[in-house]
This record gives sequence, C-alpha cells and structure tokens, in this order.
Amino acid sequence: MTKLAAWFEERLGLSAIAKFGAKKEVPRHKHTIWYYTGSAILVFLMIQIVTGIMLAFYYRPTLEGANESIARIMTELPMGWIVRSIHSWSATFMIAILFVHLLSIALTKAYRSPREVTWMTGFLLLVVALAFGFTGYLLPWDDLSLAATKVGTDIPRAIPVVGAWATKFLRAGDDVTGDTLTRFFILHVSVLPLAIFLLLGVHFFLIQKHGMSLPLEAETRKKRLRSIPFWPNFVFREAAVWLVLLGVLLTVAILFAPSLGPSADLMAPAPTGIKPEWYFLFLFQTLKLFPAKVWFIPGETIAVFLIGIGALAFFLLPLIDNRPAEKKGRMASAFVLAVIVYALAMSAWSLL
Amino acid sequence: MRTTCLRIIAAVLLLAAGLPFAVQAQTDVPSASQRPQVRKAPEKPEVRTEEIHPSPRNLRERSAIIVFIIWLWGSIAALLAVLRLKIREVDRVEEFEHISRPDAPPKEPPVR
Amino acid sequence: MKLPYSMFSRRSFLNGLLAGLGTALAGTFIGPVIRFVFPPYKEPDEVRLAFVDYKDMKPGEIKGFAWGIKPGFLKLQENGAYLPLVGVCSHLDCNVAYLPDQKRFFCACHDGWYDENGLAIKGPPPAPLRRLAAAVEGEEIIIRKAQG
Repeated sequence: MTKLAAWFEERLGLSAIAKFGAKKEVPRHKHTIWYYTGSAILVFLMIQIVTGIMLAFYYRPTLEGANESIARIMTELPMGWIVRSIHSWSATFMIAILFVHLLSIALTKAYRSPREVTWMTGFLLLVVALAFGFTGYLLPWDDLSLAATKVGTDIPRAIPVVGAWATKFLRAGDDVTGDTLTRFFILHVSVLPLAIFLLLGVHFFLIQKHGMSLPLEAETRKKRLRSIPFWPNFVFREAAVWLVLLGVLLTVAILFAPSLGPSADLMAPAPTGIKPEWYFLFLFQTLKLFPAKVWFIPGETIAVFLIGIGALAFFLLPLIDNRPAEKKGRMASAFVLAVIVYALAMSAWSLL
Repeated sequence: MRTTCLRIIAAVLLLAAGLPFAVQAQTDVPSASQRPQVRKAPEKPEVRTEEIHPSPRNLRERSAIIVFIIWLWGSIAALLAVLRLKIREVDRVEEFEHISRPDAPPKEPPVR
Repeated sequence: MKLPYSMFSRRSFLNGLLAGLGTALAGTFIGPVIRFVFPPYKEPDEVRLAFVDYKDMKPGEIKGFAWGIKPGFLKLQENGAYLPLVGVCSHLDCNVAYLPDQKRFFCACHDGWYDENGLAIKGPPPAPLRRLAAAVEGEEIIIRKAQG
C-alpha cells in the first residue's frame, strides 16, 4: 500500500469493505438472471439524480415560471431537451425494472426468513419510487399534468377519517394551486431523496448481511450450487447489462423525446383523454370500475379500501407466506400471479 | 409445470414491456383541434399556445442524431466484446484457483 | 520485425482496452453536461431604441438604455454623434452610476471613477467603459457591438 493509502486506511479502515466485497459470492442457478435487476435499478437511479440536478439548475418551481422554464430548457439550453427526455424515460425504465425485481423476488420467494425486513424496505422503496413519479409528473405544469394531479390528490379523500386531511396536505390547501406545485417540488427533490437514501441504506445493508438468497429447491433438495465471486466475475457481467440498458435508454430518449404542452390554465375544463403515467393505469382503471355509491358507501372508498388491502398484503407477504414450501406457499404465488394478471388486464383496458 | 408457468409469465412480462411505449405514443400529442380554447391573459403578450415537440430542425440535426446512435451502439458493441473476453479471463482465473486448491472444500454459498 | 516476446500480457491488454473504451464512452457525456451546466449567455446583437425618447437630449447629456440585461448609457456628443457605453465597471463588474453634476461615472464598489466619455480617471478600474456603436436609422437608434 502506498503511504497515502496507508494514511487513510489507519483512519477510515475502508479496506474492510474491499475484503467483504472480495469474499462475496453469487450463486449460479436458473434464477440467477434476476439478480441483475437490483443493480439495474441503481443505475437508473443514478441517472435520475444526475439529470434531475441538471434540470433543477434551471427549473423554476412557481406557477408562473414552471412551464416556461422547462420550455427554456427544451429550446434554449444546449442538449436541454435530451436531458429532460432522459430524465423522463429513465423514470419509466427504473419503475419497470423495479416491478420486475419485485415480482422475481415474490415468485422465487426470496422474501422468506430471514429476509422479511429486506422485502418490507423494498416495498417501501417501491412506494417512494412511485411517489417520485407522481410528484415529478406535476412539475411541467401543463394541462395533462395538472389534470392528473387533481385526480391523483383527490383519491386520498376517499379514505375515511384521515382522507380529507391527506388531500389537503398534498395539495397545500383544498385545491391544486401554485402552492401544490412548490410542495410537490420540495417533496420530489428533498423529502423523497432523503427517504430513498435511508431506505436504500437499510435495504443494502440487509442484503449484504444475509447474502444472496437461493431458490426454494436448493433448500428443499439440498442441491449443491456453484457460485461465482461477486468481484470481479459478477460485476463485469452486470456491467455488460448496464451498457445495454444505457444504450436502450439513450436511443429511446433521443428518438421519442416527450413534448411539453402550454402552461396549465386553472380555469380551463379538463382536457380529453387524461391518463396518469403507465404505472398508475391499473389503479386508475380500478377506480373507474366502481359505481358512485355501493349501498351507502361511496364507490371510491371501497376501491381505495381494496387497493389498500392488496398493498398491505404485498407488504406483509413474507409474514403471511411463512410456509413457502407447502400449500400456503403455492397459494401466495397464485395470489401474486393473480395480481400481475389483474394489473396487466386493467392497464390494457384503460388504454382502449 | 412450474417452469412452463414461469415461461408464460416471462413472455407476458416481455409483451407488457411494450406498455410504456404504447402509452407514450398515445399521451404525446393532444393536437390543437382537440384542445378547448385557452383564454389568453391579455397582459402577457408571450403566452405560448402550441406544444413544444423536440425534433430535429434540419437535415444536419437529423444526420447528427443517426450518427450519434450508430456511434453509441458501435462503442457499446466494442465494449461488450472486450467485456466478454474479460469475463472469460476472470472465470478462467477463478477456475484455475479452484483447481490449484483441490484439497480445499468446494465453495458453497450458505444455504439458508 | 517480430518481437520474441509480447510487450504486455493478455490481461493488461484487455484491461487497457476496457479502461480506454470505457473512458471514451464516459467522456462523450462530459462535454454536453458541461455545456448544459455552463450555458453561454449571449449579449444581444443589437438593441433598437425609439428615437422619440432620445431626440430631446442636449449635447453632452447622457441617458440610460437597456443593453440586454446590463445598463447602457447613451451620450449625445458635441458633434451630434451618439456614443453608447456599457455601464459595467471594468474592475469587478459592478454597475456604475452617472453623476450629471460632476459629469462622471462612479462605481460604488471600490470607488472607481470614469469621465463622461468612459475613460477611467481614478480608482481601481483598469480599462475604460466598453464602447458600442450607435446609428440613427429612421425612427430608431440602433445600438450594436463596436466593430474591430
């Protein structure tokens, strides 16, 4: 070790991390491919942070300035439209891979003991990521984003007791105004990043602590599995995946850059064909299914209640499915599959 | 049975990957004719009423985009080729380390 | 001329290639990021003033105008020509003020003084106030960057 490295080593002791990394092993089996989803999410998160900071340098989070500042970014600043396009598309990619990650863990039952808390932090990370998408969608302040936000912030009102208060908190008042915009901006660039870093820290620590999970067969059949070292073997494989993802992201971002509508008019009627981002489509459609009133309960409340139950079931899945190798485990898998089919069907339906 | 199920799910997920593109294509252009009349605030002369579509303005920009994409994928392909060789090399090194210590127990990931 | 042995090992060659190509790919993104983060501020190519606002000036009088986002001062000289000056101190970029009773420009930041034609006469300013070119065309005075 050089003298400089030795100086840092004596004070920081970081070689412990390197030693740990050198020992880490990644088991190889037919589900190893899903191990790549975790770092893929991180790559897109890094891209979001960098492009997000670049956009935030010029974005103005006020009613008068928001749309105009993005128009300026897209037309005047060099490569501005590409930065914005990458930020928008990377959000989609990140959430898509997040869903794949979640489903692969759910179906391979990697959440079973002792990884229950890892799963729960992961679920909360999904909620934070969706919150990022929701808050970010309002920031351009055009007709579509205003309408989507009005609908989206109206939904919590359906929750009994705390609903109205939740909506008021999100909207900074009873209606969507410039204050809502500023509030969503601070949530998007301050509060949610803090939340994601805290949750990621715990999630990451737990993953390293427990090591990579193995498929159920390895436990039940006691099959001896090969494994490869994390560094350098697995990391180089991951790097190849990152390269391809980066290429796809850039190509799509350049060829299908999003447009920007004119600044939202708070007085104008809602535009036709409003839709939330694709990851909320199935929720949107579910809400549309329920009639205005079922018996004496508002349909929306029932819908929100059912969605809440579903989300809670997902959050507590490792505790519910505590016998993964038995019938209970198969029923849990069936539940997850049913939710996937439901979400896809609802999303497809909402597009028709 | 289980693998067939998983393969069907994988196929469905791949098809579902087309979903974000379908939505993007649909949400992109509410054309001027569909939009209700926006009331312009009379004090602000510069209110924008059209959508901004980032698209290349001339042949030069269109060519630049194509050249960039070709260059991007070309360099990614080159890097992937080198990575492939590098991965083969580190795998080989690991295998030799394994062989050179035949007495050591085979590395087994902790079964939990 | 064939070498009897290889100059570097296969491993170091691969490592070099990987590092080199990786840096090249990463490097292409640095340029655009820097350009985005340091956008060029363009001064206006020309500024048009309504002649009506300035036709009542007396020789030696100085009136302000906007040169982009910077203050400008337009002086009507004795021979009838207009002298436009950029009202930014050549020392450290503070905006200067014109004091008509003393016929001087004053920079409050570090006590810099310029005469009525923009030449630095006292204090830290190292250079005179920047001159532009003015031309009267019809109903307008057109201020442009000075040639040469």
